[in-house]
Amino acid sequence: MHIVIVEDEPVVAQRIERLTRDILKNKLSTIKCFNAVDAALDYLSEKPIDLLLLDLNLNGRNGFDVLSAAVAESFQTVIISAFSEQAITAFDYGVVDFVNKPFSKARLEKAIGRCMKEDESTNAKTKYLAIKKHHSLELIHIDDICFIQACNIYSEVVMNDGKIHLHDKALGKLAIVLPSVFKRIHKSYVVKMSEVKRVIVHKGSKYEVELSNERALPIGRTYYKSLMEYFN
Amino acid sequence: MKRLIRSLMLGLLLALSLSLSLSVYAQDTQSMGSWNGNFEGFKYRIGDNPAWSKFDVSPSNWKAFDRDVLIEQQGVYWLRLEGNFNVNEGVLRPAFIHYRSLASFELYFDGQLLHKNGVVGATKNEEVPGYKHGQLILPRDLITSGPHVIALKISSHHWHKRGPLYRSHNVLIDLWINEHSELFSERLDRQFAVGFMAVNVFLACYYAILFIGNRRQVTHLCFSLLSVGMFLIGTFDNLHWIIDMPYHWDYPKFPLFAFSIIATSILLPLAFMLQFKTQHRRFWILGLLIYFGFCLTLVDKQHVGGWGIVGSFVCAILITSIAIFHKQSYAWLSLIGLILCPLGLLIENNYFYLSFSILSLLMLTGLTLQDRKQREKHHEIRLQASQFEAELLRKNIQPHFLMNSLTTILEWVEVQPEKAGQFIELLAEEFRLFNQISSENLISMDKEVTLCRLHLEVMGFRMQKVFKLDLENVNPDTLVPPAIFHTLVENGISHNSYDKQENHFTLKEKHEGDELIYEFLTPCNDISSENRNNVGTGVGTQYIESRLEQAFSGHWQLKASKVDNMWSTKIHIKSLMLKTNSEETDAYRYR
Repeated sequence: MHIVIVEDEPVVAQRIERLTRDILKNKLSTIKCFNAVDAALDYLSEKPIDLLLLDLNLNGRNGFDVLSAAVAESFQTVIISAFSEQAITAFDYGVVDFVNKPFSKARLEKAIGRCMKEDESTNAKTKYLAIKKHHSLELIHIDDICFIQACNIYSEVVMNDGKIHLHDKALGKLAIVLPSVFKRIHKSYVVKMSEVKRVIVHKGSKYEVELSNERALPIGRTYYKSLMEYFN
Repeated sequence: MKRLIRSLMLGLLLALSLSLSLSVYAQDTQSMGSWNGNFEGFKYRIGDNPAWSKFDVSPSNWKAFDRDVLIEQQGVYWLRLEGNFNVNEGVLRPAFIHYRSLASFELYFDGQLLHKNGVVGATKNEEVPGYKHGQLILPRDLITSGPHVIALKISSHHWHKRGPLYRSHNVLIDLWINEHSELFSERLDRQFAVGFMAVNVFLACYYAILFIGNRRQVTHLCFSLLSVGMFLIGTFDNLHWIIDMPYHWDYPKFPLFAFSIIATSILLPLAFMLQFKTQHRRFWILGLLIYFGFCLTLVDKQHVGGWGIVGSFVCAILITSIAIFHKQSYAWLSLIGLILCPLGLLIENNYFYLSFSILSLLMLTGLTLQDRKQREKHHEIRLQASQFEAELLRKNIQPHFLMNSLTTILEWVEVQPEKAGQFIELLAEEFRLFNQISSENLISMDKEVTLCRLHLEVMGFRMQKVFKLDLENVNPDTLVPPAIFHTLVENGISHNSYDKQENHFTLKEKHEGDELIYEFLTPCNDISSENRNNVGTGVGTQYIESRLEQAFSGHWQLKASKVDNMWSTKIHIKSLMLKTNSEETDAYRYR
């Protein structure tokens, strides 16, 4: 696992690094500390990582820019902050977890644990997805999303109006930060359940969901059972 | 508001009582029958002879009234007043003979004994003093056209002839004949006087209660005493109307009356001086005392009271006008009262007490409204003070500082417990000092610098760097609002990233013209200066501005600029507004 820490307090940074090493042990491949976001960004543009542990004060002028830039990336973001009242905003933007300072090892372990899961929604509060466009970021509202389709190591976010956005996170990772109304129905599809009109059963145990926009998506064999449970 | 309503109710009550007395006055029935009488020129004769009461007495032994001779008279003597009535129609009602006397007497009308006022006696022991004021009925069958004589058998042993402050013009006896009774209830001016006394008794109690209940403000005490003085003037002036007063009480009464006039004349301007916080009060009072000294020694004693009241009013009008000039709230109410009073007197003498009652009520209204305003202002200051205190304490527990410090402690507790101990100690010291200054309005630069250095040490410990504060020319005794430089230090650290191991902050003190300038220099690198908020928008800057405004209201300036690789914040303060530790700071202390 590749991890980057952004923290301007040297002792706190030292703590995060020490505890992370403790928690992940040999699962940890690299860990890198920066005392400012600007310095970290250069590194992130070159090296792909799995997790960003970010100390962020949204009171600052560019706090939101940094936050939305981080969540638009392929890696997961955990905020470690002294400002607990900012947790709500951070969750809106789709961070996996928000750790209040001061924090124990157990708390950090829980946060890192959440990031390592796939599919399972851990943040039911996400309201926006940040999408990287050419030179800017676009925030799309969760309510406007119809379904998400895997596309290589990226995801294609299909909107209700038919527009398609490319998100840098892989489908499994993206699913973690989506509210529980999104369900994985196939290795390549995550669907917002409120858009599902009905389930069509074809011959030969072939299943499909029909969406409200008339589109049909296949249901993976392994996901069928849990999907049926959801409907019941 | 409650007080305002209360004072309005009081005014209503007075108005009600006045209209009541007016209606009583209007009841005076129409004259029944008409006559006119003409009695003038007392004559006297020393000695006693019952025959002298008769109409036909040889006039040769009677001399024209001479008060100075009669003053010295120790025995019984007689007075005679001759005159005549002209009766136009049948007289259906008796007349009234009114008297004001400083003697006991028997009154004979055409030789017929009509009235005894006290007991006339040849010696002081034999005499029983009569009343100073009274009236007697002249039966209607005695009112006939033609000459008549009123004879008085008199003794005046109880008359104090030469007391200090005694009215030298005081009449020995005065008689007048009227168609109607002049009893108290029928005289409007006397009823105004009673209204005036009632108002002032009430006000004296009211102000006294305010004085006791209101942190013993001298103004309330002075107003209470003034009302007592006014009540005493009313009482002494009208005593012989209200009670049957033996004539020899006139002597002790008069000096008391004079004293209450003088005391009230001093208290009236004094009350306004206290109410409007007039400057140089001592000189005003000294001037007044000199004036009254002059009145007592040089002015004819009969006019002392009048001169006193005139001086008092002139002084009070001056003080109130100055207060209006200085934009003192509600001073105009008092000025209206002070001008209305002499105006009322000019229009009609009967309105003396009415106009003084109105003055008292206007003064009450003015003081009450002013009190309310002061209470509101006081409340506001208290509120502001507690807001500042809360803000200061909040600075101390603001999450960025506190939570990062706690996280740092947590790390050291687990890894280097010794360091955690040192850090907690340092942190505690900063908290302690903060707690100490949080309720202060001004602290010495010495304390402020200590606070800044403690914070720098805490931050240095946390950031594992060295932060220093260098002083240039800073006077440790100058008083400044707490934590303003501390806020600059805080901003300097949190808005910057420090690459160097050792970082120096600088505080310089300079004097330019009538200004003292503090310049605070924070090291800053290029990146941080771009991110930095402009002065005046940050929360920290707002705190500094509101604190400076509170302490130096308008006589300060805050400027920020980038100089080389330093961020410079300049605080300009007019030297006039500055205080040092050794001076009184009461003006700024509101607790």
